[in-house]
Amino acid sequence: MTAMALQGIILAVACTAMEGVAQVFLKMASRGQRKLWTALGLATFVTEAVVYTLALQILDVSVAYPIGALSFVMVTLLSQWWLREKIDRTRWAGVALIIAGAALVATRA
Amino acid sequence: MFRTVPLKVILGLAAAIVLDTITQLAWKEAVGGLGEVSGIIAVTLTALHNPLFLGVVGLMLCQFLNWMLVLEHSDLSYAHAITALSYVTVAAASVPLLGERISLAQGIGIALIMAGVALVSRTGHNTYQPPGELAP
Repeated sequence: MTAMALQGIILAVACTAMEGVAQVFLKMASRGQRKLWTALGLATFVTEAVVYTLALQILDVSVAYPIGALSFVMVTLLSQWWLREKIDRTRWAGVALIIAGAALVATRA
Repeated sequence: MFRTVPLKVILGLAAAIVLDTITQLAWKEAVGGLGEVSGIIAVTLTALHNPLFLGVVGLMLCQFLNWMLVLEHSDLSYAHAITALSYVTVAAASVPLLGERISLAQGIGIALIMAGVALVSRTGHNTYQPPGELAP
């Protein structure tokens, strides 16, 4: 793997983290201070779009898109740690199947 | 599956999946209509004069508003996982509408996503307990 490709992968993974954070911000909006959290969520989504564009300048879509399936892990982890949602084994098992499935479906990209 | 989930959450999730599917397909169709235009500014200006692109923006707005309503009544980790079904609907709809084909690997992927969503849907849709409130 070249240093450039590694940089692209790091950017794509960073996008999945930003997706998780943006989703958490939107969920926080439902618990109070709606305008603040909504604005933060939208700003994070815009930043994610810019970073993803940079990643796509380095990586093929067929590589970048399956990496996006990691957002299901990010959202689940952040929901547990930040939002205090209860993630039982069944939900984790479901998320694992979804990630594997999304990566396979994305082979069309 | 979904036995204890309020109807408004089920309808909201269904709307999210449908809206996401239509958005993805319309976006793909709109990009195909851009032709040889290149460069961020040129692409943006061309897109602003393309009714299909404007329609995609409208769909995204609807999707955002619907998603905010869903999150009012559901765990983020629950709702976000359920919407993975849009991977399935986009792949399925792209066959008749865009003339694309589904490979064996993609078919297996679709089955895995559906199994995963089925598992997630068996968990509680709203597990958050505000500080100070006793668990039921």
